[in-house]
Amino acid sequence: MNKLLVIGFSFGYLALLFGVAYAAERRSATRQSLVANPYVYALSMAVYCTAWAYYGSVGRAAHQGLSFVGIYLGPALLAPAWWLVLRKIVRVCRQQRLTSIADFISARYGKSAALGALVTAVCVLGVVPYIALQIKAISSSFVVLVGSGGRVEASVAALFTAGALAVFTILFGVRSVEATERHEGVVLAVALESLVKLLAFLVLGVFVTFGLFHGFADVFDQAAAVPALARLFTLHGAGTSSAEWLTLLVLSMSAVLLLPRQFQVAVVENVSEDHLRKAMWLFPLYLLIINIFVLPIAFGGMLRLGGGSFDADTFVLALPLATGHSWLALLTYLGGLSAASSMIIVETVALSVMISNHLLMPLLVREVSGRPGAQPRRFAYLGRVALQSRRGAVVLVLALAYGYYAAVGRQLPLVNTGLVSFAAVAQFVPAVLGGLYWKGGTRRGATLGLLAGFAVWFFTLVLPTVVGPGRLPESILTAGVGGISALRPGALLGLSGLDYLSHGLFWSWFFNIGLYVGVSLACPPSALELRQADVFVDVFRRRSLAEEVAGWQGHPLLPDVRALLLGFLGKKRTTQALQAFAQRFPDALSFNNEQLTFNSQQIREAESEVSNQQPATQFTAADPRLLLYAEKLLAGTLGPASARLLLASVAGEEQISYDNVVGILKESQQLLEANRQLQKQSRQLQRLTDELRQAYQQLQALDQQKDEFLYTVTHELRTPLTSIRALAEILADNPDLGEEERERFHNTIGREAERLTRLISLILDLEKLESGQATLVRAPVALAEVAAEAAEAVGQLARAKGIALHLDVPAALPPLPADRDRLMQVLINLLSNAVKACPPGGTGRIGLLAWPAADALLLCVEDNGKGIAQAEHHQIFDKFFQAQHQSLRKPEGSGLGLAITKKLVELHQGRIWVESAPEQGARFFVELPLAPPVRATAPFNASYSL
Amino acid sequence: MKPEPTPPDMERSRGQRLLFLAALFGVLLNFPLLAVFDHAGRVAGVPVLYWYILLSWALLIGLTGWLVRSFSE
Repeated sequence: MNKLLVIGFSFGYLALLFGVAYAAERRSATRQSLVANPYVYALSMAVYCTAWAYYGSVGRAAHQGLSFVGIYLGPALLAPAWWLVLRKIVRVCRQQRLTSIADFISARYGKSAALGALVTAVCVLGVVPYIALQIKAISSSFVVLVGSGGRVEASVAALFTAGALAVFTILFGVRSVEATERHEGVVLAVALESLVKLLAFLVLGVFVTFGLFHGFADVFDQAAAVPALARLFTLHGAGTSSAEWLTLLVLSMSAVLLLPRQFQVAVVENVSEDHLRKAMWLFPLYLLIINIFVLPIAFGGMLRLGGGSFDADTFVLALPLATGHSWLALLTYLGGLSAASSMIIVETVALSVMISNHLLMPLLVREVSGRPGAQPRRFAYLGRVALQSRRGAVVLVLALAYGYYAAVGRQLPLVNTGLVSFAAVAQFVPAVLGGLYWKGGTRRGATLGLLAGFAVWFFTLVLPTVVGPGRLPESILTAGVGGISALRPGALLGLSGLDYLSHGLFWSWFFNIGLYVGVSLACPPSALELRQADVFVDVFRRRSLAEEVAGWQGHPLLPDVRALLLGFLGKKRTTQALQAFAQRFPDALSFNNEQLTFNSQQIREAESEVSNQQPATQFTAADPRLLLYAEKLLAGTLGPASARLLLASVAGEEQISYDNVVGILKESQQLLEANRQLQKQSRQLQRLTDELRQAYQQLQALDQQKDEFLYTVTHELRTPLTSIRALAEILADNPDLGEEERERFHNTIGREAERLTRLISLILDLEKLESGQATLVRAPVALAEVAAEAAEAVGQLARAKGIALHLDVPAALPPLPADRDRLMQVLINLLSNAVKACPPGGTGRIGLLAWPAADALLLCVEDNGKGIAQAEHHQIFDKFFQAQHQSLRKPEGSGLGLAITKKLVELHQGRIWVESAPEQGARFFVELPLAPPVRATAPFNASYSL
Repeated sequence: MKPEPTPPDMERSRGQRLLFLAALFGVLLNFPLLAVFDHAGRVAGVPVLYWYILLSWALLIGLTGWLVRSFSE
């Protein structure tokens, strides 16, 4: 193809990216974000698919069959767990204002500057070759497309691309010193690029599958005829072992979570945690779609172009070119360009922030804070330097990548470099996951684990790639370093039989995890580490800044803190930030309300005041929460380690004594526990109170009943006594009374005394029953016998009143375990009650019936007397009920009969009730169990409850 | 009467279900189960293994999408 045309399209495409990014920034400034939706979020995650996926997957598939799928299947398998893992990382990073994987690890392990620097170094060393790979992809695809030219043209193309991308990255990727700020331009450009590469690849896939061949079946049919391709249909045939498959999955899972660019798009550029919800299935779907045509294209390339002369990595371009579709080739070239450029841009943004915040700033902050001079000026200087250093880092990263490409990158195949890069990033997995879920991980453990893992990674995975003529001798691989066979990079400590990738991952993780866990357990963490562990692991439980434990030695004045923020954030952001803080913690800013408004003039005044070195007497010391807030704001700009150093320069050392933190953590635990106990006890107390109240009410009721009882009893006793006394007085006063009269009075006195005695014995009886002293002498009783006896006892009374007594108690009823005398008493009571109720004069009828029920006997005494109103069905069993209603009815008994009957029945664990209506007669039912329950109930409450 | 589950409970069970899904497909798409489909047979011209991986993958995506749908829907 025409070289100028290709160059024109390349730059045209890059110009389009600039335009899109610019538009996004403009829209963002007017608060109409194009980026704040889950679709752009998911598409920007697809920066995972680089030129390596675009060209390299086909290359890998052409030689190793399906194993390439593992690299995309891993993220898909991890995606459901994002809800737990990635959401937690996003939450932590937002709360702590962390902007890179180095920030994350450094902040988790005691805000260690050294650890941040180590992570940054690993990232740079692991990822720069990966960026070089992208540059190589762009330049070699350019060469393939143009069809001519050699090393020089490729290098020039690479250089121009790197240059253009550096400009783009600096313009849109490092606009402000604040790293927490989202880069909407970059994100939208990357999302667009994801669409472009997907479309280009799909168009090519459809072209190959349905244009060059007749569908999937045809491609596979033709491939099946070639033995070298037919064996690629299975993993086994392609030589992919189960260990290698697993390693690919694990590596890609680590990569999609922790690669600097993935961390950048998934965590830093995340607008809302809710977007994860859609991204969790959209992103795997993207990966699935872009991979469907990889195998057909690879087989198509092998079948049409022949394996020999073409590099399989270039099939994507060579296939349309060889079949004369140069415009299609140009489209796929642009797809590859988009895949490569998006990766380079995002990776460079992420790396530059890491390099500036973890390699440069800690040194500068230490250097500058030691120097004398006005503080605000120093801070402003540092703020400027931070931004410049980040821009410098962009250029540095791209220069390193280009240098790597120019020096060694040309010979490397695409896929291997990428996987080695993945393995480098996988070294962060123990420290990150351990840091998220295990409070015991310490700085020392993480540092040593990471160092060891990195060293083993370098030894097993990087060293073999630099072996070759003119570089390291071949003997290292076969005989081991220094001739020691245990130190062979491919078989460390004699472990052989694994593919090099599994081998490298196994050993690096073995030492990494072993040291991380082992050292963490061996050496206790410092106070700061403990606090950070708590903040990270319990991030979902923590709500506010105020809960964190903090303390500084010095008490810096408010203007000092503000000057510090002004230097790094600028006036606008400082004002916003302090206003936000004042809203959240109105009590924390101790100056008066006029100053709370922070209008720009006041800031200027405050500034001039400070710069004039006037003592700011009206300001008091800054609140500790403000210091914490300021530290976080600065962490978003400079990284946690530098922020801590900076704050220490105004506030003195961060003062967290071990005992302090442990004490507070323990205290909060104890508080929690105590709170739980308190709640439990309060619930118990509530229950007790309720029970007490009930008991009290019962007691009151009982007391009242007792009064009534006493009143009734005395009343009942007084009636016969009164008549006895009256008669006795008459007898005494009238000695001349007739014999007959005297006889009658004597009889009456005798009858009344008898009634009194009966009443007293009934009361005593009832008292005995109620106090639970009464005992039953149970023996099997034939009910028919007892019934006949009872009927006989009341027979005389009934006959006297002209009442017909009918008895229907079958003799075949099972024997009842009961006290015979008591049972008799029950029956007599009921029968005599019935007699009293029945009308005299021959119309009265009384029946005594009995029949067996399930496990009880039922007794019924019915009469056709005056009946009982529904409302009184319960009350008639109360003591003296009848007596209390003397006004309604003429009393015919003591009023204790039914009460005693009820007690007796209950003593037998039976039940008694009545069915009746006024003038309809009454039926008294008694149910007596055939087998008495094991535990006899002696209801104390029941006696007064009705 | 069963009490209505509170949102935190539902969130927790959602996390657990998703984790189970990831673990389940992690086993399904790994050896030794993968070896069951790792043979030269073809269905509709396409290798069995290719079918198996792509269809499981699609199923995983579908199930994930179903599990993460918001509760308000």
